[in-house]
Amino acid sequence: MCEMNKNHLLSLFFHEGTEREEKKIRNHVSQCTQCQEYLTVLEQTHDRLHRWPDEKPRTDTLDQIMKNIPEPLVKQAAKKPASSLVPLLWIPLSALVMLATILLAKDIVTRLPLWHAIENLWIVQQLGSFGVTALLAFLVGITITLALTPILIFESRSKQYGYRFK
Amino acid sequence: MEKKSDKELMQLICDKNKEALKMLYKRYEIRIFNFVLRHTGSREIAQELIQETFTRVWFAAHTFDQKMGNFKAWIYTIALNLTRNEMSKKEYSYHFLDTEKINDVHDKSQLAESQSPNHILEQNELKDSIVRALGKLKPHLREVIIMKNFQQLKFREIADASKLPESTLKARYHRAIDQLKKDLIAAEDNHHV
Repeated sequence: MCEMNKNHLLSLFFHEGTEREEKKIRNHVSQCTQCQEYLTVLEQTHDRLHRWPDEKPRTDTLDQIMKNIPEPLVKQAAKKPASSLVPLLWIPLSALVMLATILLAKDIVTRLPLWHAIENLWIVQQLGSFGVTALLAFLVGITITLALTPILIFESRSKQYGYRFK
Repeated sequence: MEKKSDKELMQLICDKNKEALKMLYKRYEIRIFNFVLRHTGSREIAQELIQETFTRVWFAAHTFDQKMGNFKAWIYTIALNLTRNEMSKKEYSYHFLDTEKINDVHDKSQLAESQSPNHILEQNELKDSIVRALGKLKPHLREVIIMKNFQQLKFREIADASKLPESTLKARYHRAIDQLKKDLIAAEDNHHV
């Protein structure tokens, strides 16, 4: 039995070794009938197998592949809202409305029976009728906001996740 | 696009460039189609699996190692795994290949090239003998023969694709050759005698 590793013959046949290795193997093969026979078998098998020529896939294959691939999402540039002065106008307008409300409410507050009970208090004297009315308006505002908070939270969640009252 | 390397095209595919996928398809369609066809012996399955292979290339492009990866080995790994899955799923046996069906489809393309009927008949007989010989090989031996002789991959590339050591693949190759020597060469020689 030949001492040459068959794998070396594969390297020679498929040209996967270095030039130096191939030369060494070739020298051996030139004197070894067993290795020559094996190389012939490799060659014959390779030739026979190649009688099954390459075939082509259907012409519409690429179209079918492209159909399986979704269109990439086109990122739309976020629309920049047009700058407007309207929101800024709400601030002085709201302040005016608040001021007018407090001025109107001030007279009503001073006519209440409760006012006579508290008018001598130090804090009331410091704030005056205007200050007390403003403080009352602030407290009423906070109370209304806190009362509405659960409804506002629910409303924002329903917009986010899309659930609705049935 | 045509001048770009496989790795550059893969980078473009990661960026969802469809033209890059089309280019890779043009480069590998024949190789992958015939790889599956010779494994399964079925044009229908080969047709299905080539589509699946390239669809996976698109969706799994991000898993390809851009720096170290070998694209050829990577795509063959995908095709090989799909082929193995398909064959195990359908308990497919190469021994029962419908060679007439293969020849029928193949004949039409051959006739279009205006070859003589005798030539086609002869070619079909030769192909039948190859199909039968390959069919007798165990799947793991057939894989090596197909990747080496038909796809002309280096043993290193086959090792990358199949995740097996080169020494194992070479041992399998020798075993396959021994069997093919009996089934392909000896049978044909007897036939001529």
